[in-house]
Amino acid sequence: MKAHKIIRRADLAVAAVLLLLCAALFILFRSGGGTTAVVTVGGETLYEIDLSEVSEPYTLSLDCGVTIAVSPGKIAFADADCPGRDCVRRGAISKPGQSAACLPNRVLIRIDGRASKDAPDAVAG
Amino acid sequence: MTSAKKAALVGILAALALTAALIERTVCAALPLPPGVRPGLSNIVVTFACAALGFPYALGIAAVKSGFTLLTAGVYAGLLSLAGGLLSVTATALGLRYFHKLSFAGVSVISAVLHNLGQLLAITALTGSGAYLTLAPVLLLSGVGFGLLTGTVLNLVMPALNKIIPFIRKGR
Repeated sequence: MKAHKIIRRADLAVAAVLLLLCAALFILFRSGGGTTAVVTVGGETLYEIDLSEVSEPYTLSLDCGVTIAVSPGKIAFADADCPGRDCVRRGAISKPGQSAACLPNRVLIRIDGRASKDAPDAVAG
Repeated sequence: MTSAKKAALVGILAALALTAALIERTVCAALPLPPGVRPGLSNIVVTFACAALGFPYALGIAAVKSGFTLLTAGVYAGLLSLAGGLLSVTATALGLRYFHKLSFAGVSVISAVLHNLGQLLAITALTGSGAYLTLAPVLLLSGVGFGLLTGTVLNLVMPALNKIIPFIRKGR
């Protein structure tokens, strides 16, 4: 079996390399000050909502049994029929790069990095 | 170690891995975690199994864990667990065999990251959507962080375990 120090330099080197990769991806995905929430089910985009244009809260009910709460600047899973309800517990997301997902129902909500001026106010279908 | 002893040990370890997974799921259920972010406590057990018993046994434990996930959380979760588990255990075995400069901490980082990657690839394949790939940075970060944590725990515990393993081997 291996010698067991608490941590070795090589371990930290691996960690550092992966963290650099993570930072690179993070910057890549988070470009722009976007406020567009994209709701996808399976592969398809169902809604694109500019959260900064939302004045009054409303809810979206999806066929798969998931309810999404949209409010000014934030979006969250309100309810779902999945076993763990991890998605609901995720809470509200509002910043570019953040996401919430109900994997059993294959629903993904993510905040896009696009500048909100270019994005549509809301797209359904 | 005789194969009977190995069978007994892998049984205990599999039960331990399931218990760790269950506790982890219960604790994480109360927290607003991003999708897929988990401490990965079972990985401590699986990595140890890989070092002590070998790749086939570790793979067996991962399969049992995925079966447990399938039964308790549904087909989708079970498939994701299987994908992550297979990729992760393979990486653990390769890491233990070929990257001798790494302690269990480094190997656990690789396992954790690849576990998350396996699940990410599985959900991308199952849904046919690239949208989930935006989860990659968070999953990478948590993989590195928790991988270091679980690996360090194993590093700390190994001296004690090493005293037991020869004991088991000699069959007293």
